[in-house]
Amino acid sequence: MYRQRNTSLLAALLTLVCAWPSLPKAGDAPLRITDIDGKTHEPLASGKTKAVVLVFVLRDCPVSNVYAPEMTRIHKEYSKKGVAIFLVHTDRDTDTKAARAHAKEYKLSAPLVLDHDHKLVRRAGAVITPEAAVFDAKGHLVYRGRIDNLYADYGKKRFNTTRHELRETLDALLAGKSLVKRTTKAVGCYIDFSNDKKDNK
Amino acid sequence: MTKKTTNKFIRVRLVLACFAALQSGATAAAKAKPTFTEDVAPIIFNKCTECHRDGQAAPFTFNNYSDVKKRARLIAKVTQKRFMPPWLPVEGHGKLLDERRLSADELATLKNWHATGMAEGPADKIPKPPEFAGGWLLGEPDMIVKMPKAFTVPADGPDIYRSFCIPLEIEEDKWVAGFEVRPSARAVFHHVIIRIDESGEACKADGDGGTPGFSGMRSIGRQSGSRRRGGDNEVFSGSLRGLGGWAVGGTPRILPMGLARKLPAGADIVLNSHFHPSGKGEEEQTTIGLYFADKKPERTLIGFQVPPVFGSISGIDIPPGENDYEVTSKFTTPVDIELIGVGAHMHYIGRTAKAYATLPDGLVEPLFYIDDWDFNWQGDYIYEKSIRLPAGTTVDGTVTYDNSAENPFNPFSPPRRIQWGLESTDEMGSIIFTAVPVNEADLDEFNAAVRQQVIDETRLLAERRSSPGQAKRPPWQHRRSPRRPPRGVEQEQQRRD
Repeated sequence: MYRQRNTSLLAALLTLVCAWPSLPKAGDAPLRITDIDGKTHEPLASGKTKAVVLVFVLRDCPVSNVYAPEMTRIHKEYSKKGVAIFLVHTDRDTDTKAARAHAKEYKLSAPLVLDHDHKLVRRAGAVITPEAAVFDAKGHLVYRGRIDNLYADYGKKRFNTTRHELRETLDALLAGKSLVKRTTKAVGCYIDFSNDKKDNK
Repeated sequence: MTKKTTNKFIRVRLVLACFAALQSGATAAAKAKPTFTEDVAPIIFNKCTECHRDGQAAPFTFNNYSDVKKRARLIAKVTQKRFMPPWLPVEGHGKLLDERRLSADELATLKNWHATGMAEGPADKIPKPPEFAGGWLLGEPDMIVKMPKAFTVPADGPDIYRSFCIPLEIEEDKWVAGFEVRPSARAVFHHVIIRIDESGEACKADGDGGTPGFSGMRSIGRQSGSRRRGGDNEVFSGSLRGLGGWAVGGTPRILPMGLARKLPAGADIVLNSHFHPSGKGEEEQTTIGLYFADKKPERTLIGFQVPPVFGSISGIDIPPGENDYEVTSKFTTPVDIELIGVGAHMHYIGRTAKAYATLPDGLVEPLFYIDDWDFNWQGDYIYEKSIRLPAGTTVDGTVTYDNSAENPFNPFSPPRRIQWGLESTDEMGSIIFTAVPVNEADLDEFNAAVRQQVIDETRLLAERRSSPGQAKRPPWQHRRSPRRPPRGVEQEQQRRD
């Protein structure tokens, strides 16, 4: 009897411990994103959006810019299928005007977001640009990392891209699969946290 | 590759790294807590700002504290990996001009600065930011030539390797002592080899299909004109690879000792250019400034290669999956010579290039070594001091290739058999020396030896082909079992840092 109660207690504790990391953190608000036009999106509120993608970018990062055509292709293909995609500028020196000019120069089509206080960066746990974060329809982070494996390392651009992790993640979500969080290491430029307020770090 | 071997390899590397650190006299160890003005700025201003400033090819400007602080983590990372500053030749294998390699101390300073929070330091300690002359770095050129039409580099897709012909219409022979390359689209233009074509074929091929330029390196060895005239010209002028190469960040130089490369009357210039798409469409119309010597140089520059003729007669035939395919060759000089410059040429799956000289007294002198070849950073190097090799010295050259799927630069997925060829997805392989005979009177003998090397190599290849099943391998080429981890394994290791 005692033993059984202990076992159930242990099981309950274990469940709690195991489930803990995936529970929303205190104060973890639903995904709310304000773009550079001042429009606030709550993409998951309607229940129609199947996934949300944040791609963290840096205006003068060459690796980030090399991905511009692919980011636009992904935006055009997947926004039709119920995926909300945002390009998130992480640099405090990129203002609305600079972000717009950059999007025009590189023919970027997805909505732009300025994340000067790095709220979205921290929410996704991003450290690199370009780095993609995918949230499922419940708002859980299911993928963070490279868009694909075009770069094997700094200066080591593959002749042939052989993995397309961002597309693969989205295809799996759209196919109704339930995913557990997966991360890959992105190659690119580090996000500058040196000016963040201490409590934000 | 087993894990054990990998670990062993890494240990060896570590030991070597420590040894190198000791050797380079790292006595004044880097400070544990460096500051920008005292420690970091001198490194950045000297080694980085030349390219990392407005209007240059490199991203980011490094003019002041906030510029550098913002990128501190990236700087620490890419310098540790020796991706930056870009400098492929390994220390201790020939002292070269304009070396951009960072010392162990400098690397540690940049790393420690990031790790300790990037202190600014006393304002009055900051060195004067460098000033860069506008305009041509070597002064006003004697002749400025430009691609007749701009080539459009698309926003996206694989790298582009393309040749462009610039018709010259010069009526008398010129002697080129130096050149400066000015790309119009600096973000996408990565490197160029400037060749000379006397056949007229390159300009004929240019523009096929309505797009400026043509694919491949058709101008190699097409300098028959100089051969016909013979006498005072180098025997195989193709060995000099035209006027030389230049990669982003390279410093233009006038050749030492009054030397110059011949640009014969009626010849055309061919640019073998390499582009990286940048994410947006760009137009490239390269301008080249040429600097002429006043007169024909008193000493004649000769090119020789190991293996000769870009590896075309060494039977390069690399099976798919082979990650350590090796080609070796040698050249023995019959006369005293001085080595002036060096470079290497391979394509995407090239892995290493190494050359050393064995002097008649048995002394071995390392001449050149690239331990991690990168097609992107092909430079032409000039020795800080010319290297004198007495008659009877043998120069040994070895190039290796990685045709495995783990090599990210492999143009084929899955890997395919790759042989010698003119296209960038074929392979070439040689270490290219420029040299002069110590006594100009020995020129013919030197030339004859260069010619003989080509004949000997051709004969060896023919012998090998006529008896393919022969157990005895020719001494100059053999395949070995893998002895180093493929590129992918090293990257996995690096990722853990």
